[in-house]
Amino acid sequence: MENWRFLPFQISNAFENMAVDEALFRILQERGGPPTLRFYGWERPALSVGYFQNINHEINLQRCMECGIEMVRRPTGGKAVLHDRELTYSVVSREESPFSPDDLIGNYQAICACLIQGFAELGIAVNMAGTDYIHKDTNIKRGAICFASPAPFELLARDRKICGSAQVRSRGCFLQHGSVLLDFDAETNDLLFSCSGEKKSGQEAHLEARITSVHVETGTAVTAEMLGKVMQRAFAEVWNIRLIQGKLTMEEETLKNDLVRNKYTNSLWNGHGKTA
Amino acid sequence: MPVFSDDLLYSREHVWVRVDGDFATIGITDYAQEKLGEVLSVELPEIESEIERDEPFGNVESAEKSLVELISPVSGEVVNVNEDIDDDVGIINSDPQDTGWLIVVEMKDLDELDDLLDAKGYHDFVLQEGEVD
Repeated sequence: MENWRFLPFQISNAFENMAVDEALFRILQERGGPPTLRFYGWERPALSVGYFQNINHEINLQRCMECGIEMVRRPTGGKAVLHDRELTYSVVSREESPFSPDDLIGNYQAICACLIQGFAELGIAVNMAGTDYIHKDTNIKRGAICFASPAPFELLARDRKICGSAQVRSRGCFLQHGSVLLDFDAETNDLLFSCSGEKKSGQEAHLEARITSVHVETGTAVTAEMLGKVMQRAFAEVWNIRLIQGKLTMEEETLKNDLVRNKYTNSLWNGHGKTA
Repeated sequence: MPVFSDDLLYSREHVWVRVDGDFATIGITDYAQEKLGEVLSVELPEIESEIERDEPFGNVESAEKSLVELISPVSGEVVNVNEDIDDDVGIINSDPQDTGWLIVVEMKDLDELDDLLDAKGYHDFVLQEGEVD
């Protein structure tokens, strides 16, 4: 049985959250060590955008500021996620593992298997979209919003997306993090992604038809911490791993602080994906 | 079935190198593009920038929302970047080992090439990963 480090549910600001994930990923590449499973929340609603995303074209930055929503650029691919009433997970591991082929699809599928089991424990039947997945509602403006962007290997409940994930891979290691929706606010999402001065993009109804949440599927209020515990059990069972509660090493803590200071609070990084 | 070309050298980070004197043309391998899936975006260094062996020199994003860091097989100065990719990023998938090249580097140290694999060595390397026939 393989030992994994487990970082239990903790709430931090957007910049620290991204810095912790990247520090875990970089130190694993450089020094090795056990893989890590982490669950976390966000101090206040925050928007994370994908590495390549052009925020000026896709995000209503003015509206974000008015709503007090922090924005941070992720080290991973994919599209924007509003972190509000959700649970974020991250898995940092070497690509080769006993659970999956060492490629990005294999890693995605192995992690999805754990999440699917966690959803099942809550009574939610979730399946993974196939490689040819395209949602039947073709009216959706797919550009900016992660949860409105159909892609293969997404987790779907009743054909609606309930979890969005993204990866970065380098030197034989990967970081995958993702957002599991506890609830979904189509109106706020619509406002944040409405550009060109319009008040709303008119996508609200489409978003509601495409996206679901733990609350919608179960009819009960599940907290992020409770969901984290369910998912923790699911990872341990499906992969047959021993999760050992831990914390950041001194080296990871130092790198995290450096990343907060120089990267994740840097407007050049968050605006344009550059640090200098 | 990925293509392994005899006129290329390969890194264990799935990048190929075509050597012409002190210059190295670099791209991602056919095997890597198959694994990556449809490439959506690429970030490459600017001309005249310095890159270091075993350090990232760019990023590729696939349709599966995965970002892959490109690890340089050699050190040197970037002297050319494939501008055709700006017009059609799809050539990285359709022709990764020829017109889908990424950058040309003027190498600092030709001895770094000694650590690279030939086509058979790279084929054996990915075989060990259990991914090709």
